[in-house]
This record gives sequence, C-alpha cells and structure tokens, in this order.
Amino acid sequence: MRFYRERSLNIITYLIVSISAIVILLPFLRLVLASLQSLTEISQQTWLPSPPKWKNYSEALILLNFGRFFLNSGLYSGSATLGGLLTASLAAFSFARLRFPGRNLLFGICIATMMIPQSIVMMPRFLLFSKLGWINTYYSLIVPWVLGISGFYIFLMRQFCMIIPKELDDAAKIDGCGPFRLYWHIFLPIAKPGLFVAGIYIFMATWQDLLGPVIYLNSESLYTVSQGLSLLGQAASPSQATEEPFVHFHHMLASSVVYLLPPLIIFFFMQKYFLKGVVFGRLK
Amino acid sequence: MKIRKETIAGYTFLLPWLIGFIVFWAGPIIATFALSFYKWSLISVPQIVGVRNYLKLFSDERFYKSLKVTSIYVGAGLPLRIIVALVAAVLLHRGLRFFGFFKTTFYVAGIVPGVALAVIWIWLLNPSIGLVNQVLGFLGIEGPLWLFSETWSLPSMILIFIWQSGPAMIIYIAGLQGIPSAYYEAAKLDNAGIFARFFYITLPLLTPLIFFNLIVGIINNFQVFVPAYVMTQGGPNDATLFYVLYLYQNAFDSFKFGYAATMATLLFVLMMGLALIIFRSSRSWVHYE
Repeated sequence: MRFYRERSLNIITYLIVSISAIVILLPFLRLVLASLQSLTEISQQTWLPSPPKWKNYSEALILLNFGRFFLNSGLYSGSATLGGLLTASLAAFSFARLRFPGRNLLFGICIATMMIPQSIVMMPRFLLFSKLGWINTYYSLIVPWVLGISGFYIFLMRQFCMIIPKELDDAAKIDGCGPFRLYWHIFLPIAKPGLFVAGIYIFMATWQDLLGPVIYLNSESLYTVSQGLSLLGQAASPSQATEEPFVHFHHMLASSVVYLLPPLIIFFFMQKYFLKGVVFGRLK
Repeated sequence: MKIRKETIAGYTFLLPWLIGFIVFWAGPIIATFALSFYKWSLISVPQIVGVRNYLKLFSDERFYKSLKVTSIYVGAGLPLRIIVALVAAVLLHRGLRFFGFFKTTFYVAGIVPGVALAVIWIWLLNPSIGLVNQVLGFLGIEGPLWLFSETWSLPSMILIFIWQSGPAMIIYIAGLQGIPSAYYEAAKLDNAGIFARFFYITLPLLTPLIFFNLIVGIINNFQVFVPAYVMTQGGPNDATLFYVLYLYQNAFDSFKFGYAATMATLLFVLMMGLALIIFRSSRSWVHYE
C-alpha cells in the first residue's frame, strides 16, 4: 500500500513540476524564435522563423543604438561593482575585525539602510546632483553606489569575514602587520567568494536599474539598455496601441534577448553560488 | 594606546561608507521630510506651505487609488508567491530525478532583468499575437484583453510576479534541507500523514525564513515601479497606478517636488511601520530553534 502511495505521489510531483517547467521555458523558447522573425511572422503567430532574420539583431544594435546602450550599461555596472565592492569590503572588514566605540550602533544603522525605500532619497539626490552639474552624466548613477553602498552588501561581506579564523589575523599581527596590510594581503584574497557573490548582486542590480537612468540621463547617447528597452516597451504597450503592431517589435524582442544574456551567463557560471550561497547572506 | 590606534583604523576604513551614508541616505531622508512642507517646481522659488501638501494628499483620489493598487499587488502577490515557492520547494525536496534541472529552470525565471521581463510579457500577453492567448485558444478558451483591460491588468502583473517565484523557492529548499529527517521519521512512526507532517513540522520550522521573506518582500515590492512604467504607464484608467509610479509622475512629470516629497515621507513611515508590526507579531508565530 505504502509503495503505491509513494508511486502516485511521485507521478503527481513530476506532473506538477513538469507543467511548471514548461510554463517557464516556453516563453523563453518563443522569445528566441520570435526575435528572429519578421514583423509579419510575429503578427501571424507562426512559431518558426523562415528564414531566421539575423538582421533583427544587427539593426537593433546599430540603427537603434543598442550597441551604444550596452557599452553604457557596461560602464555603469562595471564601475558601480568595482567601487561598491571596495567600499563594502573596507566597511565589512572594519565591522568584523576592528574594535572601536560605536561599532555596533553604526553596524545597526548600516543594516537599516537595506530597508530604506529609494523614493525617500531620490529627490534630494537629484537636487544635489543638479547643483554639482552631474545631471546627464554617469557620476550621479555611479557615485551613490560607491560611496553610499547599501548595507546589504556590507552585511553580506561581513558574513564572509566572520569565517576567516582569527588566528590568521594574530599571526600576521605578530609579524608587524598593520590593519591596512591585513586587509589588503590577508583578508581580501580569502574573502574572494564574498567579493564574487556581492559583486554579482551589485552587477545585477545596476544592470536592471531603470529609475536611476530615467531620472538622471537625458541624452539618447547616454541611455542604458534598460532605459532604451523601456522606451521600446512603452511604444509597444497598450497605452500606445494602434491597429498595426509596433514598428520595431522584432527589434524590441531581439534587444531583450541580448539584454538577458549577461545575467544568464553570470548565472550559469556562478550556479553553485546562487543555488546554495544565496542563503548565506540571508540567514543569520 | 593600542585601542586608540584601532579606533582610528576602524573609522578610517569606514570613512567612504560613512560619508556616503550621510550624503546619500541620512541627509536626503531629512531633506525629503523638510521638502514635504514646501511647494516647489524646480524652476520657481520654493514656497513654504506647511501641512497643505499633506491635506491635499489626503483628499487626493488618485493617492488612495495608488495605495489600493499597490496593496492589492503586494497583499495578493506576496502570499501567493510564498505558497507557490513553498509547494515547489516541498515537491522538489523529494529529491526526484532531474531535480537539479528543475531547480535551475525555476530559478532562471527570477533573474530576468525587470525591463526585459516587462517587454517580454507585453508581447506574451498581447491579446492578438501573444503566446498566452494562443495557448488558451488551443484549450478552447477565449483569452481576456490582459494589459488592455481594466479588470485584468493588475492581475496580469500579479501573475508575472508569481512566475518569478524561483529564487524564493531556492531559499525554502535550503531551509528544508536544514530540517533533520529524524523529525519526519518520528512523525511517520506516529502515523502522521503528509499534510500533518507538513503543517506540524515543516511549516513551523520554516517560519523564520517565511518571516524574513515577508518583511523584505513587503518593503521591496511595495515600491514596484518598472512593470507599470514600461507596460501600462498606470494602466487603463489608473488600474495599475502603483504608488511609486504616481510619486515619480508627480516629481518628474509634473514637477511637484513638494507634493512628491509628501508621498515619499508617507511611504517611508508606512514601510517602517509595517516592518515593525510584522517584527512584533512574529514573536507569536516564528519558531526559532
């Protein structure tokens, strides 16, 4: 009896899980196929492009300027990640390894910044950046990530810090190692996994960022991919709907495929970190 | 002497973050609060108006609409996502074949960048050329107008939200792996069925995780912006007018900075209040080891 129950449970499980998997994968499949179709094929809902229109991609990248947008997003995400990791690791090291009055209070405040909504800080920042002449430049996007990095990443890095055995510290100190050298030569190399995980998170967050670019960037040549794609999306959205499908629909699909690629690639390379290490920063 | 040196080192390492915190977090929060008492359109001189912005806000229909829309999104979407993620986690935890493949698949849906997600679903949910209605058509159902419809646009967004339950599921799987199988053995000996085992062992032991996801989820998702900005710009007749979208429109489309600051201050208070309430109430239903 138990055996049959177990068996039918397994079948039900497979059924539910497989249907869910199809619900997830089918859109992706259709997306890639449709990105290679012409406008007419898309409106007729055919499944296979015949022949595949690779020029959708080259047109999107060159004519519609998405190539430029990718460079911009790369600049933004790359700089924010490097700078943010520097600030976060410095702070994490300080919180984890050094003792000073007010440390716990400051750490508490640090964590609290995780919960602060963007909207309560966005207007004064805008005003500040206007005064500094940083509107329509990448300074207004990158600097808050570097100097004002959210407590989440500091917390994450500190968790990785706590694992490092104190004996290592002590050994180095006996050799006359000052705090900065301790940080640079001992802590950082060992904290590499932490840097990786936090770095991936920062990259993903900046890659997706829409509110920032939309508020601060005005010239098309400066747009990020998220911004450029959002404009195509708005033009294709119900509020702008016309009889014919939006004229750049196929370009929009192609651009979104390319936009998806970096996160997907990062995910596939770092799978083990995501599927297990995600919990690391969350629990405790 | 040694301690003083360490104190200096400590603060030096913190310096970049400290500067950033004051300039980009603490300062702006206070400034936004102060701004809410002014009327300012950037080009003109700011005029102090006291609590008039708040009074205007509380008699603004669209403000209430935006609160309602966002609350429905979070209030329906988050619990649904938690349920879906939990069920999926429990199912996958049985460790059947291809378990890794399914895990990866579900997770991937969660790393699609927001704008791409919005664009893809504009296409999928299109009543005439989209996949969703095509599939429904195969099943003999005539699909609704989705994003074009006042009744279906918000549910569409909730559906998309649930579609991305993968990452939450992974967290619950990790949580499940932390439950000693001895508990289940003991329960089976006492003849406890699947549902009993779930409700008396699994669920109680997972409450810290659920609780954490709930807090972070409410705070993050109450600020939902991208789907509405890209897909509906507030939806047919304000049906998807999310709070932060309305705030953004007031600040950067209408240039009513004072009014927007009022909305922001309120949001901040609301979020902190919610977090506090959940935190307090958690004592009654979260079981730590």
